[in-house]
Amino acid sequence: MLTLVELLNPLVGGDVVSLEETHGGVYAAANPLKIVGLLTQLRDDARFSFDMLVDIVGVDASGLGGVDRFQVVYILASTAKNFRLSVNVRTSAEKPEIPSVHAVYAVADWLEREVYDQFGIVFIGHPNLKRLLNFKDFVGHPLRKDFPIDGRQKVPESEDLHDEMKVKLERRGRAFSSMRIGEYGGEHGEGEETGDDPFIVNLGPAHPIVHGILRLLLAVEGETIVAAVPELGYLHRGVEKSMESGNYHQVIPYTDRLNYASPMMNNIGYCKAVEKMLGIEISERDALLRVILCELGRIMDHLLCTGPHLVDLGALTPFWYLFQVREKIYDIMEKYSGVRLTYSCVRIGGFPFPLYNGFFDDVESVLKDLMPAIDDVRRLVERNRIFYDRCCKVGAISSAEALRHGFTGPCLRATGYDYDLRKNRPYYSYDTFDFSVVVGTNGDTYDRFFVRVYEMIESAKIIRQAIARYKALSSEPAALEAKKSKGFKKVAPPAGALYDSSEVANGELGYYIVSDGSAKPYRIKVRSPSLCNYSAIESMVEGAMIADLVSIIGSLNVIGGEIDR
Amino acid sequence: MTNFYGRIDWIFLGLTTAKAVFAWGLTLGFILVNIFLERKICALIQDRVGPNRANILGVRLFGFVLNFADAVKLLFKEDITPSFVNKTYYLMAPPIIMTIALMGMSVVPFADDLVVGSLVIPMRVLDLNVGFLFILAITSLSVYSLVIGGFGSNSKYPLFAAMRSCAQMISYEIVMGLSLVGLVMVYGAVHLQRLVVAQGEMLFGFIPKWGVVVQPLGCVLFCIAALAELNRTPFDLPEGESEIIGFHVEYSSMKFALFFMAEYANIFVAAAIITTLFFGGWQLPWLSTETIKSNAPVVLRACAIVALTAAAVAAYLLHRLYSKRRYQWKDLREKEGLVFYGVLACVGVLSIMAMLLPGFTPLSPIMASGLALLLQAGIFIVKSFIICFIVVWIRWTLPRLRYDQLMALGWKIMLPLGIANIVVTGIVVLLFP
Repeated sequence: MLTLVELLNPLVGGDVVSLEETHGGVYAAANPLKIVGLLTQLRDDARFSFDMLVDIVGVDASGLGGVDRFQVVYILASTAKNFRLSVNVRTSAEKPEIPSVHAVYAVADWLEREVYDQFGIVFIGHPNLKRLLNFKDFVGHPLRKDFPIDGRQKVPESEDLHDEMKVKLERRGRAFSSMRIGEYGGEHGEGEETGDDPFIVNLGPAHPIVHGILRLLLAVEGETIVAAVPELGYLHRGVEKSMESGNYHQVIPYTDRLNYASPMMNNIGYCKAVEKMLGIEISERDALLRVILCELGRIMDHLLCTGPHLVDLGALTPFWYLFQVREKIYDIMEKYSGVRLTYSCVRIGGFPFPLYNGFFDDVESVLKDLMPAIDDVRRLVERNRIFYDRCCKVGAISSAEALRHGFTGPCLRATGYDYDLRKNRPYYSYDTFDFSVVVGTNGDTYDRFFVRVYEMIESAKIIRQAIARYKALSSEPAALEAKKSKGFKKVAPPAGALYDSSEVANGELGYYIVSDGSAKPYRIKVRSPSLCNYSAIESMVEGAMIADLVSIIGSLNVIGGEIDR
Repeated sequence: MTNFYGRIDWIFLGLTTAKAVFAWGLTLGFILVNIFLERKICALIQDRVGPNRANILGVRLFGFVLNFADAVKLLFKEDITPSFVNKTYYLMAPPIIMTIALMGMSVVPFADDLVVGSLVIPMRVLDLNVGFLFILAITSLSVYSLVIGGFGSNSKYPLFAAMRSCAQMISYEIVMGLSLVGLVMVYGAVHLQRLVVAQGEMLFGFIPKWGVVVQPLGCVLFCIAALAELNRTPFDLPEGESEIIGFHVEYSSMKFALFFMAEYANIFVAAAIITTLFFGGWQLPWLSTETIKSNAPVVLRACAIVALTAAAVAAYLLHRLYSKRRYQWKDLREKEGLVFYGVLACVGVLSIMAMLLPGFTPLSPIMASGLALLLQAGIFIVKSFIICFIVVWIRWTLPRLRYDQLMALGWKIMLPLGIANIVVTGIVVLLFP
């Protein structure tokens, strides 16, 4: 079996300019003009079969030296061969243009829009190159290094999205007319109303089903959705820009606020990436504790997804059974970290505090409560005809389509595709734990729901094993380790870049960290699983009904804070 | 209003007013009861405590007092009329639905005719021959309120709700009507009092001939259709708070509250109608009015024993509840138990008196009739209460249907079943007259 570097070597000199292997990852530099051909080859060639575009990262390399100012990094994953590859292209400041790869990977549509939004890099051939996270009339590109962060800009009226909607409806042979009601007193807006045009209605930004703030402009016919235009960015706080302003430890609190349903997993994912960059091995005890906290976080997140999903469907009771357990996990986390929601209690190299006495008893009692709660909920919904009809075949997506859209986590596994970073690219010795990866069959909301439900049971298994191992470790005083990590103040990884990811509740959470050798991170890009999972929403909801949309969004578990960053 | 001689019949007028006050008072009272049930049962099902703070001088009545706090809150809330609404329609909708909710009870008999000397007093506000046809006609009017409110709000989501409720009402109205045809075939009456009297007969000599026994499928269909007419889960699409927020998005304060009061009033009216049509109405099983009257002392004594036992059990449960209470309030709420114990003691004393006082002499005819009236009205209320309980229970158990599934259920499943029920009932009635 050849390694990825050996496989790629013949390409060097052609489309690939250079190739290096650092931090256990393969990083290639490529010719920007040939990127479409290269990615198509990498995707279709059976030797590589890079079937997923994980992320597109823009970097303003003006502070790193080099000829061209901008870097664009395509992070590719081959789920079949278990390869990872970062393809780096550079483009000049004067004419920042790169061919668009949206035809190769569907998810690139949004990822390229984000890079365009943040850096002003133009993707030639992109069908709809608009800002993704910042508002339409925003001036400047905030992640460029010369962007004045103290400048203030007025937020104008929100975009009406009619231009996108018009294109979509025309593609379906439908006319667009927006009946304005409200203060306009029933007057017609744009276009002639003929009577059978789709009805334009806004869903969100504030609507009970959008957990966080999302907006969808819908064209409906009766209750059937003809076309949908999503708009992101209502929760965009410039997290990635803020991350550049502090030192490596000061980034940790920002990661809490990405997926606020399971903050611990974000902390751990970030620390893991920085540790990898520094070349630190954390102690086995800390690794086991991280596994326990990660899996508790996964349970917490899945409880937050499945419970409100049922509430969206009108079943209000199961929510309470699940949330009582979640509340107990919150209590444990509060006892350990002192905070209920944004823990920030992981440090690069370990943990800030030792465990409190009785932590494992608390965890054990939560796990004991979890099973009856899950059983109650399953009994209420698993064979419930109404639930079955509402969820089965709703928002179904095939494995191939899911991979094109960069689906990861439970949403990908629900399509029947067995891909879990804990098994496929194990970290913290996840491969030595006895647990199974839960997969669905149809990729509909029913499968997504139950993949999450059964994953909680698997997580409970992992926690039990990890606790047993932790207790079996020789009793090195925990406080000593904590002290060690506290003394670890100045973090300055060697110059370079690294992409590291972990399996969080929603999928693959990745951090692409660029260091210039100083104590401040030069650039951190967060690969948000929710963004990619949400990128297929248009194709999923078209032809569905408004009530299905509720179910689809609920089962995708889109977290506004993670999408918009 | 006028008697045979053209004069105003003051007795008739007074009695009708009294009955109307009773019927509407019962409906309005059940609004509070239903809201209380909704909160407390939901808390029970969801493993929560439910309302337990609001109190008047320490008396909380297990959270019932919260209703009064709610009423005060809703009355004093700012009443906003959005600038974009169509004012006429917008203001019309809440009163319409409340009026219709209160009209339903006017034909439902809540006890057997009271015979005082030569005077026969029918125990229902209106003595209409058309019976349940009147109810079907009246309840189907309530959709107008939802449509007018949704349309008059001049907003997109209420318009969805108006559309949904319109389609839903039309579909389930038909099933509702069809499910009652079998009942008419069996009992040969549409007049509600005659229906209830007919349900007092026995089948094979020992099974009460209730509607649910002779028309089980009709009963199920009617109950489902009634649930759909009530806009309750799993058919609460016009409200659909997670999808389209509901037809009352633009309403606030008491206008908003009227919609909900009407919903809870409708639950009681529906429960009363279901009781009347399928569960024997005011009929006590195996105890006809004549039996009660002729055995009045025994019946009274039995009632007293039941009341005494119930009071004892309630006192024991209360004692257990108060003895294991976790919190110390350190205010008047500590003394709340005394009120309950006082009431229970009164009930106990009254029952003992009822057991001892009359001896074994027969009661006077008026007292016997009064006893029958009280018992029958009581059993009618208890039956309705149980059905209200089930309606609330269903809400906290089932998810919501989707719009097309709702239509499919109505037209593809329930309509054919309703027709099949008529055919089968017809054959059975012809073969075994």
